[in-house]
Amino acid sequence: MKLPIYCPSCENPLKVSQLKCDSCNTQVNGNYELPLYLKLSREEQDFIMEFFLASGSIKEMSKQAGISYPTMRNKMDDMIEKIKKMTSNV
Amino acid sequence: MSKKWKPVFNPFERYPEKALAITGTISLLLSVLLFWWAKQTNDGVYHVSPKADLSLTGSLSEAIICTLVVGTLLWALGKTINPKTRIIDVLNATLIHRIPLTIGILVLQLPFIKSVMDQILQAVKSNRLETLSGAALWTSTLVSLLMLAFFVYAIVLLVNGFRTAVHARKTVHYLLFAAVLIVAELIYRLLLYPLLSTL
Repeated sequence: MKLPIYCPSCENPLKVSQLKCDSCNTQVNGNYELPLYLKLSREEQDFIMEFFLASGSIKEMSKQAGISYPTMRNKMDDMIEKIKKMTSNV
Repeated sequence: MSKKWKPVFNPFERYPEKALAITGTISLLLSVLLFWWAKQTNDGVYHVSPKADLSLTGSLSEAIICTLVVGTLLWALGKTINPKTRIIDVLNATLIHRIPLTIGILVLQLPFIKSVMDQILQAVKSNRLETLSGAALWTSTLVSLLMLAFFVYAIVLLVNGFRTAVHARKTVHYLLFAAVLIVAELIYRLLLYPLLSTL
């Protein structure tokens, strides 16, 4: 199931308020930040996973995706910029 | 831009650098032969005129120097904008963007177009433009529009190639790009071509 990361009502980022143990039904309540990786869109998460699986090779990724090296590098730079912004806002 | 037309206007986004470099180099060599055969000299990066005594060495030097001047200046600009810019990507854009310009020269060599152009040249030389037929005028207008379309296509290819290679996004990047093309034209026309024309 896709994890929602933005409020469907006001579109602000969602936080974690409850965690539950499936074994003993213990519930933990609180106000937790989502990890950075989960704050990214599904496509962006897939991109990072593909980068990892390609041993960190943009060239290999571009081959698999059927696009040129600079295009893939530009995508990567856009994501780096986005993540830097996200981390600086924390 | 639709997906169908994207590779036509921005092949740099999709095709690997090796394929682009091979296509660009082959087209450059073919353009050398075409310019030499048609006796057309590149007296500017984007200007061509007839030169009866053009040698094959001259044609080759002009094509290489034109490409290198534009490519090197754009690469220098690219490096300033984005240090990750690779020279191969900028050179590929420079090589590929010359293909439509070469096709333009090829079109001008078609016998019926060449004959019309010769008629116009003669009429201008003898100051008797009124003797030109309607068909000749129409043909020359259509050919001019076609040449303009080839030129626009070439610049679109260069802009897209530069954008992909450099990841240029700001207006100032495109203004600097335009300035670099003007500087390249001036350097080539005023400094390099006078040296090359002696070959």
